[in-house]
Amino acid sequence: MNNKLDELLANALTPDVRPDEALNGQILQKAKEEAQMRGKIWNGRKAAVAASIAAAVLVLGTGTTYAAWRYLSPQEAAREIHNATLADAFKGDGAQIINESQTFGKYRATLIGIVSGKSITDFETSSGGEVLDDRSYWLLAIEHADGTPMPDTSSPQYGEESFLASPFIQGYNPGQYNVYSFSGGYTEFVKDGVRYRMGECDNLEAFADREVYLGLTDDASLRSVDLGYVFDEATGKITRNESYEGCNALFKLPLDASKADVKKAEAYIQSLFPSEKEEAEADRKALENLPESQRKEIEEGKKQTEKVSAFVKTLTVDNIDELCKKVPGTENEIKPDPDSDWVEYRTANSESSGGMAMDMFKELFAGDKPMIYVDGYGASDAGDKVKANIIIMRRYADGRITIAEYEAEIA
Amino acid sequence: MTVFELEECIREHQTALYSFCLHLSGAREQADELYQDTFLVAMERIEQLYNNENANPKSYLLSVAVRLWKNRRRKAAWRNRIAPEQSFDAPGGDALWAQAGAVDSTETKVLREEQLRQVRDAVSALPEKYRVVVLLFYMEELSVEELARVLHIPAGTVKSRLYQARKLLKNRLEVLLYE
Repeated sequence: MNNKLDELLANALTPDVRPDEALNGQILQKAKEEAQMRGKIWNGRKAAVAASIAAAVLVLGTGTTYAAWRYLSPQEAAREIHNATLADAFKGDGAQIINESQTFGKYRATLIGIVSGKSITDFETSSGGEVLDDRSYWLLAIEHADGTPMPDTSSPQYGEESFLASPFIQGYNPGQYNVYSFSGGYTEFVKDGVRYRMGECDNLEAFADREVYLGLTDDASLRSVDLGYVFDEATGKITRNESYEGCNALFKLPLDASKADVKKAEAYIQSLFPSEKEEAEADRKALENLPESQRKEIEEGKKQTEKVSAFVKTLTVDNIDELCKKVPGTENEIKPDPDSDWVEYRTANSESSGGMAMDMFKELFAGDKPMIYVDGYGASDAGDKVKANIIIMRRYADGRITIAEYEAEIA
Repeated sequence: MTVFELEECIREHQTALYSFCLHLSGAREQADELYQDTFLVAMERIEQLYNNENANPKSYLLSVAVRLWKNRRRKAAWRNRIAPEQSFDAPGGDALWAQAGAVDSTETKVLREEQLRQVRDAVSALPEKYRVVVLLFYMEELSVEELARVLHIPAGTVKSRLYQARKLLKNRLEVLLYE
């Protein structure tokens, strides 16, 4: 019956509805307008959103304060991108000129200045139809550490070097809370062999009571954030991963503490990703709208799952065969590919499958003693009992590691 | 990303993304808006995703769509507190499936359409958190791990939601399953 349900769902949910051509045309038109607004300056090579923060000079251990004449000032850079309002903001009291440089790998990154505020740009940024007018902007200069000029935006080599510049906030994992979640973007240009990036994101000043950072990696993917920085879950502090091979600059931004607003900061973070509490509330409301029979069914399902969850916690390699029965035809040996950094596995009947990073797999199965690992479980009715279906990864005494489905009936 | 590259991205993912938006929102007007905003929001990141051979632009587009949808639902909930209104089309209604719903003279095809409609209706009636998981798994064919990344939830939670969703669907589609 499971297979039939899968088949029905796969057939009924085949993605077969195409949007109107007019709708696609509308998206392309909007994209063109945005590109014209920003990208023309760079011959269309980059059209992006921009951002920043009000910060003060802080020289880290690896940082150097360079003479300001070396680089364009933030006002000059803002004028280069035809943003007179932003240039004015960088002249204002709230702006900070920093000029701190850090050199890692092949690059030297210099944080030149930052400013935050409402309506401080000539180019409106919107997200999901909502105008974002309370923003932070920063200016970074990126150079080759060996002094060779950075390729111009019109050069074919320009796209060969990509960077990710992102603010991070103490207490929030940078892999999840970064320039992307903060509705960020940038505009770039190259002048005299220096690549300037005017970045922007939602205003960060509300977080001024904690450490706020600006990181720059020489890889535009978020993977570089995971690899380049270390998040200390105990203190919430973010530091450079010293063993990262490449550029992973990290500037600490001492924001104006008087601008800190704990409530606003919390509300902002909650708006990015719904919390468990919000999800629970949404679930509760969804349940309220269901017919009583379905509501009871879901609540009963929850109770059953909780029961199975408690049962699963009692399982060990010594009692698994006593408490559960292996479902025939499901056990399959896991044979990791030594050349891959990912381990795929599936039960012999292909009903359950998954994968995990090789590092995690090795960590999980460190040592050579028999052990089990619960990969997942489900609960269902079994008369006056609850039936548990449990996916177990197991290492036997002979070293084989398998995955199989086990069953148990719980009173 | 140039406009040409965006156009290519739209061509590649339009059907998958639009179908998902339509099933998620249940109404064409809302699906159009969600689909459009998803591409515009995702534009900058997509460029980087295309430059990274390990990245998956489709998963990213779907995750943006889910995030935008959730934000919208929250805002709608606030608005409804002030001025409650019913603006949703009935999920699975005629207007929604006008394009996909084939009008065919043969009895077999009519029965098949009816069967598909029943399945879609059952999926539409699922609580949202189950519906999203079912759409991403069956419609977009994401793996459990991809689903976990798209929804920012643990893989175990994905499995549990899939399990519960299938259980509900089994009950609702009992007649079809035993045919």
